Amino acid sequence: MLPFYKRALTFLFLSLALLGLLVGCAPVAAPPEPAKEAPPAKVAMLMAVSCDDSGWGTPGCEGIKQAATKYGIEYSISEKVAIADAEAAVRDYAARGYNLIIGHGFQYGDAIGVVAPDFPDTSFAIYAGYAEGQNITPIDPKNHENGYLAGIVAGHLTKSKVIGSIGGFDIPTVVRVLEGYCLGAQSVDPSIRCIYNYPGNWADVQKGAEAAQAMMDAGADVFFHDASLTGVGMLQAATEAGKYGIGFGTCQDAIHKDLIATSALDGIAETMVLAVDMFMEGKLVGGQTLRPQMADGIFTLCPYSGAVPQAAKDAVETARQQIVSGELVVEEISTPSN
Amino acid sequence: MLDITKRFPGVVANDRVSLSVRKGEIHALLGENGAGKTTLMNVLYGLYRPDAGQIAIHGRPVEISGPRAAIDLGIGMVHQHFMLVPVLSVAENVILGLHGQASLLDLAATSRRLSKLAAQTGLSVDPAAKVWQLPVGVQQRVEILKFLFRGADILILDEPTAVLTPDETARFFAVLRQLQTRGVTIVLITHKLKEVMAISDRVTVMRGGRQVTTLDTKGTTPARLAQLMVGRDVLLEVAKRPAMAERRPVLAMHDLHARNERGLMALRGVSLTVHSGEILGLAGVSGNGQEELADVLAGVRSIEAGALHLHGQARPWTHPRAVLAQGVVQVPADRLADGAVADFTIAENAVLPTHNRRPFSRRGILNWPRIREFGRRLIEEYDIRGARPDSMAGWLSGGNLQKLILARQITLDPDVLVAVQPTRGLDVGATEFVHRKLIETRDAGKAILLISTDLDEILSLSDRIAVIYEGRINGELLPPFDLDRLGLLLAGDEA
Amino acid sequence: MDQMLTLTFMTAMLAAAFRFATPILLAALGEIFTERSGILNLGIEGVMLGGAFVGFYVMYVSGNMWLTFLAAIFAGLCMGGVLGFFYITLRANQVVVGILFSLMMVGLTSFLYRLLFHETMLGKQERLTQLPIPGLSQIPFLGEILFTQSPLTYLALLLAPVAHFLLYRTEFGLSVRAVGEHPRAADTLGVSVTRLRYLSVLIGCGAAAVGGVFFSLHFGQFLDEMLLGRGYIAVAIVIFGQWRPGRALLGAIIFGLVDAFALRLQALSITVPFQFLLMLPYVLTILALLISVRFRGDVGSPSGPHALMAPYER
Repeated sequence: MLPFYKRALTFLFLSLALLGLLVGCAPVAAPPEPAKEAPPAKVAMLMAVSCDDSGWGTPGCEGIKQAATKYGIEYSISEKVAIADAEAAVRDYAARGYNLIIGHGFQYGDAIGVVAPDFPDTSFAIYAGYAEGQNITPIDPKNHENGYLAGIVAGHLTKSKVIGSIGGFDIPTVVRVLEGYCLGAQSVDPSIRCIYNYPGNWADVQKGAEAAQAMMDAGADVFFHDASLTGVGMLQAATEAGKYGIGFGTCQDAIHKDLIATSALDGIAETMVLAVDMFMEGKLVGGQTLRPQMADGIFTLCPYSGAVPQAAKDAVETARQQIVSGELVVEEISTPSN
Repeated sequence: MLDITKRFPGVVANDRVSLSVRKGEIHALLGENGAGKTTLMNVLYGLYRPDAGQIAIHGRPVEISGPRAAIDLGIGMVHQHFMLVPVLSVAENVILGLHGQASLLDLAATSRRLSKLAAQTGLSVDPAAKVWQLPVGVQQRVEILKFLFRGADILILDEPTAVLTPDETARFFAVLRQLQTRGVTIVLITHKLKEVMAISDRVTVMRGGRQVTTLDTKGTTPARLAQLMVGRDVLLEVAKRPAMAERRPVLAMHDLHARNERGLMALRGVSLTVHSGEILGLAGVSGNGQEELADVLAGVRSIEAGALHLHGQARPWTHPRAVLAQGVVQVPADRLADGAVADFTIAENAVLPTHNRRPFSRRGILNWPRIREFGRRLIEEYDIRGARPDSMAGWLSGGNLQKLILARQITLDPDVLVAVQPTRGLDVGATEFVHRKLIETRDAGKAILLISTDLDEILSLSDRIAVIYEGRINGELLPPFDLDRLGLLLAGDEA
Repeated sequence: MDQMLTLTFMTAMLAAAFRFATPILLAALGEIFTERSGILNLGIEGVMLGGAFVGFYVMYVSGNMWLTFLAAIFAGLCMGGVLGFFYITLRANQVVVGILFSLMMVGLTSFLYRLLFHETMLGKQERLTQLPIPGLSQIPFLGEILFTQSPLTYLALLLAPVAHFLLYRTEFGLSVRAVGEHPRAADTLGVSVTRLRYLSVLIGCGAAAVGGVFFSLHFGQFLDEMLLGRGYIAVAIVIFGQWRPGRALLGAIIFGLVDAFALRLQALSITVPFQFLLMLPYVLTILALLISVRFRGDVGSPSGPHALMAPYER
């Protein structure tokens, strides 16, 4: 039996540890700047990652903040919501009168599907996921269109005719970006071979770097990713070895201003703004999948580095126009091709 | 050592104890279990800090802050449970803590010095052997060498002969005498009168945490020492009335077969009947199936063949709780492993078999005031010393722990009490107490099966004796017991 | 398949295996001391994360790699002091404290990150690169595998024999082993159990923090979830290695090899499910345990030093 003070200290430590956890996961909430009138609406977002991950979470948070500023609405973001806690978190937001609740990730589909029927006046949206319901809007961006444009750049840059890419997980929303990238490259030169890697996480910089090394050993000389920080690790290792990289999610030219040819913005932030726009205008229809696409102007490439030849820029521009006009339809491949 | 006092939560282990040991003598520290002998020596060795009192070595007052300080003063202590690291070699155990942490190990040189020292003292041992491979007798040599290697001239030995055979004990005493000629002072902690008489120059008797007296061994007798130790004249014969005339068979075993841990048949047809109001002594050299029989009767070992009858009816014997419910209760041989939970309080241990019943719990909720009260009752009625209901059972000395277990089991009011080695390792006072309680229980009309390898115990308590040999009952004796025949039965000769 | 059998493939794979092994080996070598002294430190994941964060921050502020390295060790020792206080002085449950510490560090580092950084950290930091050893790196194959590595890899590889020497050839190592097996025996010979356990926890946490700073120095990025259980894998490797530095080295390399091999298989368009790879270190550990039950090593039981997780009280 420990003396009292030791038990007390242990208890204190445990409490502090729990507090630390809570601080780490606390919702990022901000009231609108000049809170003169009641906000016209309240928006909430849940995600499994944090706002600092420079991949999935960062643009998600950006989008919500932009939309909130635009309309002067109140918002709240819950980071690192585990699947087990999702239903409670969603229900909590709904009960507290949030009008639009967005699950940022496929893992929140089930929770929203369960909670939504209990709050028929609340709108729910799931980014890159699906649930059925009168007041649920699944958002499924055609991000393979943007992967295709990045692929065209890669097709012009590769000399070895082997290009590599990694995706966090082999889930449809990721796979189709990488497959779109491959299609884009092959539109430049059909002999180009694509190699892939799905390390199974979004944060392992070392594995990303080693994946780059392994793919370089297999001959790849241009690299692309949809893998958040793991992808950053890959781009760092690739550019360090003098190979080209194409960023994803944010403009990642800071890694290497010449060798990072461009970055593909998957429009998460823009999509969030779009969803809030539609909601504010009363156009967000439940039960219907929202498919933001090139024509909505949400997908862009970051400014090119000096390494990108004019021919590539022209080809990208042509393809963009063809996709917007519907003349070119990028095939949507949702399962890994190897 | 002058006026040493050491308290533990709820217990005064040493109360103003003074001890003076002369250079070069063998000094016996005699006392019952729990008299405070080991505590006193742990204070001397720096393991405990005294709450009051002074220590002087060679006339100089010293402050012993820890074992390191004690070793530096030339004191070494061999504990009852050896302080050797089993996975390390003999040499590694000896060199441990010898130099500073920063120094390199020179096992080769240590081994050479150790072998030389071993040869000089007659404590031969292989320095490269791993301790776990060595028999206990050799491990004891390593313990002593550990301190001689450090140049110790005061050796404290805590119950050194407990792990030795009589033959090893004789050799061990020879070594002690040889050490004495080399000028080593020896303090021998023991509760065995024979040893005190055999080896010591002087003896200090302790009782209940106090020093009773110090005597020259030559000027005293075992009877006098025993009296000092327990504080009253020891009952050498157990006073008991003859068993009741009217006896009914209570527990009957018919042709029991059971296997031991290794799957070998250990019981090969035990048939035995225990009657109400009698103590049936089951004698036997250990390893003849006693442990397995005790397990079977407790319901923790399954029967291969045979049957058990209670009050003339065959009963299933498959679950300890069911066995307990039928009124067959056991006082197990291994008190700490099977009899009590060391990390539970005395009150908790007291209700181990009954905690799920009223008045100790209702609808699964424990009633703590009742449980504590019950613990307090047992402590008082069975004279469990130095204990409160909330003290840990593990803090009790062997004798007091046995009293607790006995108290708990007898309070269950069983029809049959199976007592296995009930006084093993207990001192005279506790032994007498246990014996008296068994006889009281018999006189209350209970059936008692006493399984013991201690012949004196069997002879003085039993109303009838059965002898077990190689898993079978080899014969039965009625009083007056024929010792010659008993000897033959124990040795396996057919009656 | 033919591509897999070439020497270049093998060499590159082995070199990658050593890179993967480095942070885990560093943490595992330290944890060997901690566990040998009788303390199971599951806070090691949190300590690695703390080391990575402090390294990341100090590198950002100072731009000096040496300072970063030393700051991480210092941070590791501080965390070790805190953990040691709970493990040793308060005798708290080691599993509970260790796991909670690791969880707490996730919250703490992400909180501090948000407090201290307000911009993207891409490309902001100079990164540690491989340091080929002149001459030795020219040796065919071996040169690429062993001598064209990160300075931290050299450090880890060097520390394995150093740890072995410390453990088996010094009085310190003997005392650590004794304290983890039979603390009372050590105590009765004047070896301070408390002091040795603190030292062992400090060694373990210092080494784990170096394992963590590997990520800050090499990748210049920080995210609270970036370690992905490498600390726990280090604990698994300690068990796999049966608490011996040499075997832990082997275990770390096998682990690295599995990862490196899987990445290369995928580069050759042979897909291995990543879930399978996540499982492997633990499967290997269980296998090692099954084998160790039959061969008694130099620890008291197949599940580790005899007094592992047992707080000591006189």
